[in-house]
Amino acid sequence: MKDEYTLLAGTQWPDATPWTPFDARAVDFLSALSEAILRDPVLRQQENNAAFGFWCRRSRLEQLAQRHASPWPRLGRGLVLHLAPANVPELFAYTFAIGLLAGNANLVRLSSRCAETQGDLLRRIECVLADHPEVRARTALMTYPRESGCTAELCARCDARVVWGGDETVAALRTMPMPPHGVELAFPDRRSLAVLSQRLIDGLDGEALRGLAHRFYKDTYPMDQNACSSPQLVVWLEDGGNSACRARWWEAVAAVAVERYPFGPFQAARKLERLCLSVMTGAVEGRVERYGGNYLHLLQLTSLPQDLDSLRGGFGLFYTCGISRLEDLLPLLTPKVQTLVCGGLEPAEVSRFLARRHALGVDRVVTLGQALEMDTIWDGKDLIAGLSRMIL
Amino acid sequence: MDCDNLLLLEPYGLPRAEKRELFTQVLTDLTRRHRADCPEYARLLGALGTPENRPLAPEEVPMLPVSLFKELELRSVPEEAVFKTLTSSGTTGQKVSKIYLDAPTSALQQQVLCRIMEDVLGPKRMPLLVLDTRKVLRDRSMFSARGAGILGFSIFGSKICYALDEHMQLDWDGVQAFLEEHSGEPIFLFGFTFMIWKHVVRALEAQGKHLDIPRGILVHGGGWKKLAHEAVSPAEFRERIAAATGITRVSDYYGMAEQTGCIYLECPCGHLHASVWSDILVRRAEDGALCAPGEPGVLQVLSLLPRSYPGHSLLTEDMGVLLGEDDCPCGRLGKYVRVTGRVPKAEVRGCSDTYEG
Repeated sequence: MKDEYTLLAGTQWPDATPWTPFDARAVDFLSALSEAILRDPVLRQQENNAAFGFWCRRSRLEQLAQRHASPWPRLGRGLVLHLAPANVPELFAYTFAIGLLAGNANLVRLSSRCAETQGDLLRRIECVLADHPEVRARTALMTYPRESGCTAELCARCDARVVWGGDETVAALRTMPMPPHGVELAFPDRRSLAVLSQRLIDGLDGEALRGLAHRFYKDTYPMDQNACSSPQLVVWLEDGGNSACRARWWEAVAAVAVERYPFGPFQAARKLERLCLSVMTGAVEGRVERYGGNYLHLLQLTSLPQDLDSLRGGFGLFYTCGISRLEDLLPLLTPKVQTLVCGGLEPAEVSRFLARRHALGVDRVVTLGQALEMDTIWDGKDLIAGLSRMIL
Repeated sequence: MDCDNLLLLEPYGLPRAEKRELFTQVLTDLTRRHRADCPEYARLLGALGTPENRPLAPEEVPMLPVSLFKELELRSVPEEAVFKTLTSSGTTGQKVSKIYLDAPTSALQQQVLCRIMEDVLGPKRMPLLVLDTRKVLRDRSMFSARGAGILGFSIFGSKICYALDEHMQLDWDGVQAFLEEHSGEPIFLFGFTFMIWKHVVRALEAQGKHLDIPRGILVHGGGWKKLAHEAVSPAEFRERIAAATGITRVSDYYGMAEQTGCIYLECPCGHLHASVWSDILVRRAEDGALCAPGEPGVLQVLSLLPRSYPGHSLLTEDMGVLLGEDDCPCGRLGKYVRVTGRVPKAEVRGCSDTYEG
């Protein structure tokens, strides 16, 4: 391997012997890591790292094991290469954990920026790996410059690869062959939306409204609203109630943002730029409203858009319109649409509705507050199944 | 007010209330005009609900982020009326701004620049020593802001000499000959702050040499970012310039390609002044409100000049502080500010654009 390759945790040459999914050694390691993170005075203060610690606690892993239980014997695929994104710093940990739970040895490439900013978490992982030599022997968390050619070399040797990071990365990786049996799980750019029941929101009093607004805040602002799963479009289902509740809702969301979102000149400039681009190119039509000073901008669309592609939000810029029936959404739901966040609708019912109506998009229906929660089923793909094989 | 009357104004002669009246009138007119002639701009004003049939106070005129000119081609004149297109480099490798100028706008910019510079240089052209290399005009990759700046200021030179050779070395003999030829005359010197620091001041110091230009008037711009890295304050810059060249009249300026002509020139008190053709507002990021004097914020610039593109109200990516209005000890009327630097870049989070670094 080239000189630029820097090992951050684990071992240089992972042992690729496949394990059974949810092998006790993998579960033990991750639950030990969970405890270590939640005890760590620094990490547990960092919201994203604490969330990862909580995500891989033992009880959760046991639930996942049940959910992914297979009637037939299963084994990991062997060596999995993960390309973790630079601007969702903690995602490397989730993709590593999922690869490990599926029964694989894992090579995880972090961007150099992540390698720097995630030092605390990496050190903690290395520490826990020391107590779990068998997991350590099948783990390499590393970084190398994008141009170094390492990715192509590693692709040629891996049994599966997991590609995060949007359309360009996915396209770049498609030019790098894997062995013929290799499988790929790719996560291109996606768009997400929220549907709020006007009847429900109108019926909420101050405290309940604030609580729900806070959950919506968690779905959007923490990643500057740039995460694939963060809603850009908010659709009001006109199922009763008074439409005057909408302004109260946005005021409540803005109030949370004013309290919690680190908003400065950079964010203000980028948001104004996106707003101008959407409106000036004629991609969308509507009226701009502001809430909480510059913290929340809303573009009231005159009609449902053609698709979600043109609706580039970010930094607290939302697009909104009303529909009278859920059916009205269907033409919008292209394969690009990932998450539908529900406020006042039952996610399971909405999922069934979408399946019944043969929707082309939406892989995930979640309730408010869960948009950014990582799952072993992502973009409609079962990662545990995809990174393991059945023996029938 | 038409262009000819605009040019008759005293650069720093209009008190606050009258300037506000002038800006309300001209900016309302420019807004109406761009709304009618630039469809993209019209869409934005429609979405913002900007009123069409009443005067707009200067702070009400919608602002475009300067970065937008890198993304969209914004014109308020037909393509065939475009006389020249200004481009400004951002950082290396980034998209460039495209500013479309028709002949009247371009002429107006040039004339306004003359009026502002007259205030420092007087009405007569004088020998110009450019503290840069001639190569900057030839080499396409070096052109853009630096080349445009030099070209723009060249009109003030009766004779022009470039102080640096193509390797950015001081052309000692050439400069000495130029100074001897014009000894006893006032000399206008122009250059970019960091280039002057690195290739003139530091180079002279390293060689233990001095230039003797006691009647020199130096105007420099381009920002302090690189100098701040070397921890050079404006005061130290002036002192070391004086020691190395004998020049005591030194003016910094602030300006941008998106509002060419309307530069903010430094007065003897060290303040950057808005001329009568432009104005500057300092805004709070959190709510867009105007900052009180002394409170740092993002700079918004207003200009009465842009006719061929909707650039009369722009949100810059620079931070600054309003120091005062109409009361600078130098006697100039209008606002005076300090520019404190670029808006700090934050990391954009999100899923995409990730396989990097």
